[in-house]
Parts: sequence; structure tokens; C-alpha cells
Amino acid sequence: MTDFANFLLNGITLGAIYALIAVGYTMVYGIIKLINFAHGEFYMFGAFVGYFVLTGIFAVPPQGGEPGYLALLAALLAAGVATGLLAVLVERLCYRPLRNAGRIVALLSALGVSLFFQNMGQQAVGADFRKFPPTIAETRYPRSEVPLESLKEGQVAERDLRLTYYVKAEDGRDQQRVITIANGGEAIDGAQLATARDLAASSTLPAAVHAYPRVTVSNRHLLIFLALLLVSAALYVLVMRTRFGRAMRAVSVDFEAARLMGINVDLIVSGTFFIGAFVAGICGVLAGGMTFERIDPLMGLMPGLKAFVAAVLGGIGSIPGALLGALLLGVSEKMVEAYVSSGLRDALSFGILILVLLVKPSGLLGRFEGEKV
Amino acid sequence: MSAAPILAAEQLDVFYGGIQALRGVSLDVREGELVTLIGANGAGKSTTLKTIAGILAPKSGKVRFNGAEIQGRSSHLILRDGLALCPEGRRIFPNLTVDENLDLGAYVRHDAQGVKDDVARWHATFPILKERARQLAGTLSGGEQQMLAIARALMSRPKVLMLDEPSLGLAPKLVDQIFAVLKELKGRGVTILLVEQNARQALEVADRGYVLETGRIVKHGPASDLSGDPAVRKAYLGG
Repeated sequence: MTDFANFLLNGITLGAIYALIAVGYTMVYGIIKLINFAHGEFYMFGAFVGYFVLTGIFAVPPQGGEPGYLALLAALLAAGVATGLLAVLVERLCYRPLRNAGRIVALLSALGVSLFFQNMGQQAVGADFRKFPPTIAETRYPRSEVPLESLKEGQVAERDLRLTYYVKAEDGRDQQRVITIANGGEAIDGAQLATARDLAASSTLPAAVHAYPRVTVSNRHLLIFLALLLVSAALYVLVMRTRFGRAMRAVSVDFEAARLMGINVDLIVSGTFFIGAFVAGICGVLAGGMTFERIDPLMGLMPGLKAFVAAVLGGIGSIPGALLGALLLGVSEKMVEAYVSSGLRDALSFGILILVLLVKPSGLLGRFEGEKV
Repeated sequence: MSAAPILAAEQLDVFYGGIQALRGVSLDVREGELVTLIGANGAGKSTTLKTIAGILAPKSGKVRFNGAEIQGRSSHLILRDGLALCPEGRRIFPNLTVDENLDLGAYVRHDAQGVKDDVARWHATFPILKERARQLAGTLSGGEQQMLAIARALMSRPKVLMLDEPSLGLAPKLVDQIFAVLKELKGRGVTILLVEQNARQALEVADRGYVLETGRIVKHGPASDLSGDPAVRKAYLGG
């Protein structure tokens, strides 16, 4: 049961990551009926912008810097804006000139853009993985504090007991470390307890022992959930309650009629690309960087494809559909990984893609429009 | 016929690929007038309106509106200039509510109160739109959609309204209703350029008319003259 709860939690986290990428896919498709295969590269680009802001401007050593929330916020904003602008440029140069050339042509252009960024990325920053700085100290919840003095050798720990302490990192900042004193159900080992006492005594900031239940969630994952909540709410308000959103919905069904309302269609399309890529860029930092911890120029490929599957599963063009599809896909992947075989994880995802396209191409929440003549 | 026309097309040549759709089409509309452009299917009526509205670019010729040349301008800018087109086939936004469609008609306006007043005004003119205000526009009947399309086009407070086949595909009773609305708009001083296949009713409400045949203007004059013209009667009014 505990295992299941942990798998579920991990699945939801993965789903939230897919969702943050999938909204951009689905918004762009909704408005110009283009599957923007370069969307995964926007996610990659955002991760690198975040990386360079943290290691450059904030001088964080990639191995272990935790400059905190302010630096994270700066990295997220920079990643979002830079990625958004890149997407506007890509649309202007690679998609807009092809708008009347047919959907297949634009799709091929998108594939080209995707490969271009993968290869240019390898050329520009190298093909090797880079360690992404942890950026914020990891805390797991829920937890309750236990006085270190109260722990005795041989005593059976009811829950997992871990010591959080701090050391000076190479950049001079205090860096958080965690060691396990005893797992739940085990007796406390004397040597381990002595080590913990030493570490607590030498800690540069006040150390503390916490008891954790078997199912916990990391503050990094909570950040992803928070980002998804904020993005969903903001998109709902934007699309349903604002002038821009009304124009978006109009453009999504009829370019020409939208122009006859005085709507600058090109501007709405640019805006849509910006918003979708802004969210993907943020996700690159939160997920690609802080959760998966290493980045490289090809990192966007698989998450991009998975987000595409999620968008199709939910009904491409539908924002709520993309959220639903992504969460379902994330949970399914983690369950298959846990109970069947981790090797089948990707096969499952693409199997779902094929199945949806065969059986219900409109997806769970989409409306099937067929080919427009 | 004193003041300069507010809208004038001069010698428009328009091509679809290699096929010439308009050949030297010229027409003009004066403020307060209701001018109709009649002709058979494929004569180039819609092409004329689309060219004036900036959806199509003429190969040669000019469009003057309100003292400026507007040919080649983007259609969203032409709407901002004050020239609205209510397109053929209504083209309402089915995924938006009736009121959202009306609001989009006023997309270029920034006077929130004025927009609100205008919505109320068109609700009063077309009570069915008020009844269905929060319904998706795609659920309206064809006639209701046409009312919405006309009201939406007027929401920008255009100086000139162009209507492309507003009676197309509607039941006779609804056609009468549409023409009653046009008459009412004319009474309020709205300047209208109307394209219609239903030549008889169009000439009844219009001040002047143009007859388009295979891309050329073949006749024009006061609507009553055209209604009395034997050739026009034979070709378009059923004898």
C-alpha cells in the first residue's frame, strides 16, 4: 500500500511535468493546427537558460549550490521569457511563411527545427550531460521534529529518522545535507547515532532530527504541482475571461473571420507561441533541471514526445484534455515501471498513442474536426 | 449626388491563380446609401467584397475609403478604418457564446460602456440574441446566426457595412425578416453595400444597384430603374 502510494505520487509528479509541456503543444495546435515537434526543444532551451542564470549570474557551483528561492525565481523568469521569445522567433521564421503551404509542410519544418536545436545545442554547449544545481534545499513532507537528545541506542524507531545538518559549500554558502539515523521499524545503531551527534555539533546552521512517514513528498515536487496549478488557473482566466483569450478562441476556428473583427491574427499566434514556450521553459528548469538533475541538448526529445502523446490522449487542441492526458500518462508510466517492467514504460506510452489514434482520434476531451478543406 | 463617395472601387482586376475573377470593376457608395451588387452565382460579387475588405489583393485597381487608398491593407486594419464585412456563410464563432461573439465584434473598441450599450441595443433589435446570450453560437439556427453575424459586424460601429448574401440558405420567412432588418438599419442611417442573389428584394430596399456579370459591371443605376429594366427583369427577377 505504501509502495503504491509512492508510485502514485511519483506518477502524478511525472504527469504534472508532462502537463506543463503538453499545454504548449495543445495551444499551438488549437490555434494553427500545427504539431510543433520543436516544443520539446523549448523545454531543453529553458533548462539551459536557467542553468546559465544560476551558474553565471548567481555563481552557483553546479555540484551542490542551493542559493534558494529568489535565485530560483530569477532562473524561472529568465527561462520563461527567453524561451517564449525564441518560440516567437521560430514561428516567425519557420512556420508563418508556410502557413498557406499545407499542414504537412509546416510539420516537416517543425521536425527540422527540432533537429536543428538538438544539433546546434550540442555544437554550442557540448553533448555531455551537465549536473544541474539543486538550487533549493530539499525538504520532504510531512515531517515532525524529534529532539536528538531523546534518541537512545537500541531504541526502535517508529518512523524513518533523519538528521538535517549544514556544511559550508565551496561557494561559501551553507549547504544542507541529510543522513538517515534509522529507518522506521529498525533499532537505532549506536555508531550511526554517534556520527549524527558529531555532525549536528559541527553543523554551520542549527541541525534537526525529523521523523518521516513512509510516504513523503519533496518540496521540489510540490513546486511542480504549484506551477501546474498556477499555470492551469492562469490559462483558464486568460482563455475564458480576457480579450486576448476570446481572440485566441476566435482565431482557432476561423482566421479570416477573426481578421474581419479587427483581430491581428499574427499577433495572437505569436502570443500563443510565447505563452506555450514560457511554460515549457519554466518546466525545463523545474523538471529537467531540479528534478532530473542533469541536462543535455537532447533532453527535450523524450519528454517532448511524451507530452505530445499526453496531448493526443486528452484531445489535441484542448487545454483541460492535455492536463488530464498528461496526468493519466504519468501515472500509467510509473505503474507499469513499478509492477510490470521499466523497459515497457516507453512502449506503453507510444502504444497508447497508436491506440488513441486508431480508436478515438479526438482523444478524451477533444472534438474531432477532421481535415479542414 | 453631391458629396464624394465614402467608399469607391476603381477598375479592380482580381485573379484566382490564372483565372480572372474581376475585370475592371468600379463602384461607389455614398454616406447613408444602401447600394446593392446583384448578379448570378460566380459573377464575382463575393470576390468584389472580399477585395474591398482586404481578404483578397487586387492585381490592379484601387479601393478608396474615407479619403484614403486601402487596397493591399490587411483586413484587420481595414476593419479598424471603419469598413466592416459580414461574410458569406455567416462565419460566426460557434465555440463562443452569443455575447462573446458580439464582444469580439467590438474587439477594436476600448469604450467598455459604449460596447455594453451597443450589446443592449442589438439585444433589443434581435430579442432572440438576448434570449440566447449565454448559449454557444454554434447552437443557433441559421436565421439566428445571420442576425448574430449582422449585429456582430455592427458592433465595431463601422462607417460602412458590407453584407455578403445575408439571405442565403434561409427560409422565405427569415429572408423577409433579414430584409426588414436591412430596411431598419438604412432608416438609422447605416451605410450599406449589399451583395445578394435575391435581386428582387435587394432592389426593393436599395437606393442604387450594380449588376455584375462574369466579373464585369454591366449595368448600374437607381434601384427602381434596374427593377424596371427588361434585361435585368429577365435575367434576375424571373421575367
